[in-house]
Amino acid sequence: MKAINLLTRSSESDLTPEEEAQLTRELSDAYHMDEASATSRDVQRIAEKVKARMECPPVHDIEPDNA
Amino acid sequence: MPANFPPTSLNLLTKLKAGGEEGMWQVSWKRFLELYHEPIEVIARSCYRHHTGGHEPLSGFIEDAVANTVADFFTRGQHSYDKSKGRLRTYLRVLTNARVVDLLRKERPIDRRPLDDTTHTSLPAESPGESDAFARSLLASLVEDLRASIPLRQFEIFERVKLKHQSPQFVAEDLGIQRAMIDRNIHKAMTALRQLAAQPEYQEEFYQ
Repeated sequence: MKAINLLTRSSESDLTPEEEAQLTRELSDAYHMDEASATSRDVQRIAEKVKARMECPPVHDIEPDNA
Repeated sequence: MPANFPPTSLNLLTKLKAGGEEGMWQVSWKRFLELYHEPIEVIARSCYRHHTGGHEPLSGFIEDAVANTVADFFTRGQHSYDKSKGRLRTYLRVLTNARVVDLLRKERPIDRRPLDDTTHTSLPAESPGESDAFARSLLASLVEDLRASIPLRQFEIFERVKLKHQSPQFVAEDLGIQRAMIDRNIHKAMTALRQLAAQPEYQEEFYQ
């Protein structure tokens, strides 16, 4: 994943054609991952479980801290 | 209590990091799930292997772990994400690991090894696959931010050429505009994308 480095590095004109192609490819991959998620049956099944848990939250043993 | 969240979540990461309860409630958990389910799944699999001596989890276990992680992310109060304590990706790792350990305790580890009190703090190293999945989620969030911050027509041109790989000439003819207009719009969109990527909310999460 170099897209993030390329995006945050100087200006667009500094990118080589190969870097430009890589940036486009990784952005496109992320976009299509997102598009696929919106219609994925797996994600929909997980969403049903999330909804059920939010309506009736379980009690957990472990309460993490993001330290 | 049923969760009634707004249906949309533009500039999701920015809102998540806005701090306080308000930022959290502005984000739709469904949108968060669509954007971040992949890295959470990868983390859950990695944690399962880490705590069971290398066994592979069943898909149902991973689905439960992801669902519990996302539900907790949006319902917990006292232990909610605090950006002053670290990155979102770090918190997601800790939270996912905790939910995996919870599920393992309920179902018993496959190799019958007891889980001691330190298990929930023992995290596997971040794998390249996890880094890639998280980076993809961040890029997808960035594209969503871009959609919300530039004119609709400009995003449409960017989307068709850069994300859907349609030829600039085809898009120009289809939209009835000059080819040079396509290049100008893409240049503006890329400039906006760079400006969004430079925001602290993204910079904090971008580095490996």
